[in-house]
Amino acid sequence: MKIEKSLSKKEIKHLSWLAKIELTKQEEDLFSNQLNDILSYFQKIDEANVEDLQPTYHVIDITNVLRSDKSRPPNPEQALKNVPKLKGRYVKAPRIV
Amino acid sequence: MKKIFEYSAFQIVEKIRNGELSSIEYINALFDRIKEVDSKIHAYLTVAKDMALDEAKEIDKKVKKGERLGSLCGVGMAIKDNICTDSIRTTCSSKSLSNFTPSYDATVIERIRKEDAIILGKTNMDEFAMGSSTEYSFFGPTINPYDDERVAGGSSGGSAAAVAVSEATASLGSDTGGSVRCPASFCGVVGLKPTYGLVSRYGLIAYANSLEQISPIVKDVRDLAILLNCIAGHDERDSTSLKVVKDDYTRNIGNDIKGLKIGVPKELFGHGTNKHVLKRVWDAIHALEDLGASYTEISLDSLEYALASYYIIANSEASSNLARYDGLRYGFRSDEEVDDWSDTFSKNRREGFGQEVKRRIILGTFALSAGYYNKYYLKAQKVRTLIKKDFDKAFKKFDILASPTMPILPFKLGEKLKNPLEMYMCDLDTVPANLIGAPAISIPCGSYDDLPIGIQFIAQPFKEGSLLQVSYKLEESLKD
Repeated sequence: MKIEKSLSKKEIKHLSWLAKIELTKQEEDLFSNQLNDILSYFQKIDEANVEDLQPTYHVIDITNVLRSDKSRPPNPEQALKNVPKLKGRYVKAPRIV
Repeated sequence: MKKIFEYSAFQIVEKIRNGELSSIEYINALFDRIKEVDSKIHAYLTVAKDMALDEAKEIDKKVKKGERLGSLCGVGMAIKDNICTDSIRTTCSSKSLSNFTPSYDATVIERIRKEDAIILGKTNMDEFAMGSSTEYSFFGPTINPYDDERVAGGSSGGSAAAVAVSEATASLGSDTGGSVRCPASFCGVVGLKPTYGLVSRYGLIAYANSLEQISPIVKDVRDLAILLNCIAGHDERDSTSLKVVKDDYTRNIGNDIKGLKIGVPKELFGHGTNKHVLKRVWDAIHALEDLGASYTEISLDSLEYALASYYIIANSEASSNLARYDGLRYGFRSDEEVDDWSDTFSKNRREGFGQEVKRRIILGTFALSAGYYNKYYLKAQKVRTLIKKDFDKAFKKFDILASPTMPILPFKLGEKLKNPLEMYMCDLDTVPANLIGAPAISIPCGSYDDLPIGIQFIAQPFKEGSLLQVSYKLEESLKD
C-alpha cells in the first residue's frame, strides 16, 4: 500500500520543536513545499520488496567494541576553551527545572 | 617545465629526501600560489602559514642531519574543515562553529603528521558536509577552477579545488554520499572513498556516521596509494574502525589488468545522464578493454531505491549527530537571553544553522518520529540490505563495477539552489557505495568544453587494491 504523506504546517512546527530549531514564518512556508516535494520522492521505497530482510544499521559485522576502563587526567582549561558563556569554571546554562 | 607547486606528492617526497628541493622553498611556493589564486577560487577558510613554515624548517633540519623522514615527507596538505586539527580553527563551514578551535588532532591528522606531512590550512565545504556543490557554506562557495561561473562540487569542494589548482599537493575530505568523488570529478582530480571502517573517523565531525569516511583527494593514483598507506588502519579510539591486516597499496601500481572483469550497471547510466559524460565514460571503459579487461552490462534493480534510502538514513543520523549543537559547551550562542532551555537551544540553532542543515534535520526528525519510524527509517535500512545483496551477487561475477561519477557536468552557481531535491539527484551514482560500505574511486576520464568528467569504479569491501590497479592503468592510457 502506497503511503501518501504530506506534512502540514502544524506538523512542521511540532518537528521544529522536537529538533529544537526555531523556524521563522518564511522558513515554515518554504519548508512546507520543499519538504513535501522531498517526501514524495522518499515514498519510492514503499515499492521495494523487503519482506524477510533484516535492516542494515551498520555495514560491518562488529558489536560492542569496548575499551579498558582507564581514566585520563582531566584538563578543564582544554574542555572549557570553547564555551561561549563561561563564569569562572561554570558553563552558564538556562533553567532546566 | 613544472613549477614547484605542480609536482605530485611522490615527486615532492623524492626531491626533498635527496636534497634537490628544500621544504621551506616548496612550502613558500605553495603559500605564494594560495595568495595568487585563492581570492578567485575560495578553497581555503583558514591558512596556517606560521605553523607550516616552522614545520618546513624542522624537515629541512632533519634532512641535513640524515634523520628518519616520513613517507609524506614535506608534502603540503589541505584539510577539509570538518576534520579536527589541534589549535587550528575548525568550522564545518557553519556559523554555529565559526569560532571553534579543537584541542586535539583527528587520528588521520596524527598519522599524516607522523609521516612528516605539513598542514597548510582548512578548506571550504558545504555546511556540516550536507550538499553537493559547496554552495551551502556559510562562508560562500568554492569556484570551479575550470569555469568561474560553475561549482566545484561538494561537499569537499575546497579540498578538491585546492589540489586541482595546486594550492595543496594533496588533501583530505570526507565522503558520506559522494562528497569526495563528486568534487574530484568536477575538478578533474582523483578521489577515493575507502571501505567503511578502513580509515578512522576519530576527529571527523559527524554528519551520518554509518555512511561516512575520511577520504584522500590527490593529483594521481600513485599519490593515492601513498596517502592511503598512511591513513588506513585500525584505531582503538574509533569503535567502527576495523582490525584489518594493513595492505601496502603501492604494490598495485603498474599491475596488469588482463582478465579483469568489469560490471556496468545500467541503472547508473540513467536517462538523465549527460551525453558528453556518457561518451567519455564509455571511451574509458573501451580503453580498459584494449588493455585486456572485459565488461558486461548488468542490471541491479534495487538501485532505483538507493537515493531515497540514502537520504532517509543520512538525514535521520544527522538529526541525532547535530543535536549536540546547543550553544552551551561550544558553538554559536545567541545574545538573546531567554529563561527556558528549549527556547534557548532553539534560538541558538535557528541562528547557527543554515537552511539546508535545518531542512535535513527536520526531515531526519520526521523519519525517526513515533508513527513514522517503521515506514521510513526502518524501511530504508531494509532497502539497504536489499541493495547490499544485489552488489554481493554482482561481485561474485565481477572484480569491479564502473559508472559515471556524476550524471551531469559541473553545473552553474545557483542553478540547483531553488530546488533541494534537484541537488539530491546529483548523488544518484555515488550513494550506493556509501550504503554498502564499499570502496569507490573517481578518476578523470576526459572533459567536455574544458569541464572535467570523472569515471567511478566500485569494488568489494577491502579491495582498494583493485581500484588502484585499474585506475592507474586507465590514467596511464589517457596520458598517451
